[in-house]
Amino acid sequence: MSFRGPIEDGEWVEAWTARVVKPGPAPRVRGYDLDGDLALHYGWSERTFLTHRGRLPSPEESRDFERSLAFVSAASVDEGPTAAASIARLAGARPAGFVVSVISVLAEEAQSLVVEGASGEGPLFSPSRVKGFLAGLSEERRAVIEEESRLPVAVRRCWEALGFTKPEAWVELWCLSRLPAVLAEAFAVRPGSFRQVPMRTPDFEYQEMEA
Amino acid sequence: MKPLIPTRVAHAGHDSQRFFGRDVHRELLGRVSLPQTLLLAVTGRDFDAETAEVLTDFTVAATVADPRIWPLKMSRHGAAYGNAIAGLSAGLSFMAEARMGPMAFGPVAIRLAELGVEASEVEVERQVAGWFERDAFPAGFGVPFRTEDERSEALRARLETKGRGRLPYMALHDRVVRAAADRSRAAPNFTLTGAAAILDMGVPASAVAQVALLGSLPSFLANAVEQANIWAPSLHRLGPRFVRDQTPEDRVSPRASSSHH
Repeated sequence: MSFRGPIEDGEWVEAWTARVVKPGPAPRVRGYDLDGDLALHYGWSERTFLTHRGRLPSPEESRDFERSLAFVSAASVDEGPTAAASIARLAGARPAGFVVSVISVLAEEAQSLVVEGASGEGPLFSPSRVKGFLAGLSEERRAVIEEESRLPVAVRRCWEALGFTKPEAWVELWCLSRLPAVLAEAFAVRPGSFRQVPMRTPDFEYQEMEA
Repeated sequence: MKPLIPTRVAHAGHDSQRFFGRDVHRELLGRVSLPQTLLLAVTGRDFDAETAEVLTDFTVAATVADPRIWPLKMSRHGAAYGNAIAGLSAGLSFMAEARMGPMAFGPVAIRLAELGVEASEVEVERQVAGWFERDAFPAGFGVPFRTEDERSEALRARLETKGRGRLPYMALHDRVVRAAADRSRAAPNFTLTGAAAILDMGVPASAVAQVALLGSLPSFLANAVEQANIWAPSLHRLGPRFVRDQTPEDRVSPRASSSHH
């Protein structure tokens, strides 16, 4: 029996389009040789900038970008993504499942705090930290970040001023900068150490519905 | 004071597992079907067996599981290294607020609920005209790569045989389809028919997308489970033969240039 449907009847391109990484035995990123050039001369944040923006950052852009990633990179265990990571570790999840579940929480955090600009409490919402962040930025970037008390939004505006204009990129940068701290804290949890991880913090109160 | 979050979902007791106000083992086990259990989970409400069976019909009608369909291919990529849960997760995660997939039922349901089953013909026509003015592909309309959505036809026919084809939201669905009939791209898609059917079950508009998500699970699960058991190197790497190279010309960085001098 032969099967035909709209997919067989349609016309589809056969090839994917490469715009960033040239495929092949010696990968090139935005035209630069990865192994013989970028890996020798540029750091992680500079390569991230190049990958997205299509050009290498100026020294000033590089400093501001690095600073923006650094200021949001600490996520302590009382913050949702790190607590979630600790639970995943406790349960003995396999490495890939563990990391992907953590990234999904981090990405949701980014969607809320960075993309949608939600407010909150804690170090990400300390006006003095925002002031400190702005103080170290170049004048060009500082000028476009208005008076802002939320660090996630201030950092987003810095990213926008650096040419990262798509929300998808903000979510990515947020996850990349915070993931090491989130995972490192969780790695310290021994799988199966159930008495070491809070069951009731935060607690839930069951409210019976009428059947 | 320790933070406390209210929940109506469940409590794990010594001799009673509570779930939305019911004792799981004494009140639910043996008395409710899988669709009833899933609907209770999503809405916190009881559905009689006949109404809950609409979820079964919706799910079966929605099962177009060809792995080449892009959301399902996401599940294939996720599961391509042997983990079905990763496949399910990859397929479902990117569906939030996407224009395709189960979450697309939410805006359609809200639109139908806002229009209201009591809306006059004039109001229905005015609203539908507004949808098409504001959006080239208004929610609920447009059938890619074919002229009609076979899932809508199948579900519509099934609802008729069960005497549910004239319930208030299906009647509104038909009036909306008639009001749109003369426009281009006016073919109703499954989100319109499915949302109307789910609203007629008594599901609040705000929960319709979650109910639709349940209906999509067989398609995602089937692809995730199969792919986790097939080692398919073409999902890991296709090779340059299948790539059209539009990357920039080769170049040398300023630091590499200066280090050579």
